[in-house]
Amino acid sequence: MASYDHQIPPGGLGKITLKVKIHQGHFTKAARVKTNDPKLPHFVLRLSGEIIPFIKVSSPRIRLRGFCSDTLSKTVKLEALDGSMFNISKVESTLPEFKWSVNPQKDSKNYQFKFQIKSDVPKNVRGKITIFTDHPHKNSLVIYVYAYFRPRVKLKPKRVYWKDFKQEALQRTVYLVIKKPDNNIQIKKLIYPEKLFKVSWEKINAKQAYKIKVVPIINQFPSGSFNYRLKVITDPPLPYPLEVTLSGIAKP
Amino acid sequence: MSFMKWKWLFCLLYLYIGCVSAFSSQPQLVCPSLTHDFGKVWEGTPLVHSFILKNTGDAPLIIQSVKPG
Repeated sequence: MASYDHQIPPGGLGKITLKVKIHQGHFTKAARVKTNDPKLPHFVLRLSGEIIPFIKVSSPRIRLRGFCSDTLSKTVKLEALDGSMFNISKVESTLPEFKWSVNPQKDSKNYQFKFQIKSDVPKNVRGKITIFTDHPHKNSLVIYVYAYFRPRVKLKPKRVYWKDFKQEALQRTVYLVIKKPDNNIQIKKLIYPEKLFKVSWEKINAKQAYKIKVVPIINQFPSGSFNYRLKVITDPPLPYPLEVTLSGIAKP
Repeated sequence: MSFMKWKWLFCLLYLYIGCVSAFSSQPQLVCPSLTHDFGKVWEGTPLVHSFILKNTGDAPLIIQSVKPG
């Protein structure tokens, strides 16, 4: 934000006042000034400095990545840079299955704040942790968390399509890929319209994967577009559905 | 002197006055410092600074705009 004297009379003094808002760290801010002085029609004013936080958070933005059903955790160091003692009074978070613990270090000026999150379904998580303190100048700290829970098992592709029923190219292949190798997951059952499709599967041992072959039974299809689902039931069962869309156009 | 000569003299005088006034009457900006370092400051401290400008010319100095960036 800038405020300034628009006109300075000959021999007179004027001022340009700049105001900046910075939350943390080193900063440099500039402002471009335009005047009617033919020798100095424009110039740049610069402000710089360093903002010291009352409580330093070692990682204010955290990225976590892991498999779903696993617990993802992180430890963050909180340090009162002004030497004040403080206590953590409350912690709030929007993250799934959020748990936290805290270990004070030496005097109550430093803490190891540990948290963990978990999700049984594959998803991207964006959330924040708000730590409330009784520090005289800093009553809350915010940590932003981005987490990705990868699926342990997934189907590739998620959709198979038949443009037309040509006898020589009827088979489609879907792979069930086991992403987490220590997982002993097996196909228990496949649910699909059995009158319309022939489905078989085999295990690819070298790749921790299953190959699912899908062939439509042409003479059973009424002409026109179709859209069905192939559901994979595993052993042990997964907390999220494994499905492939079977779609296309059946021509008479 | 004929009318034409007077006319020429008048034009030259007009040009001379115009040039002299244009070159002599100008604003001149003097700014002792174009940068300011706040140093290390605690968070929440208001970050406000005024840069002092002096007009040492003989025409008004106009600040047309101050834009961040």
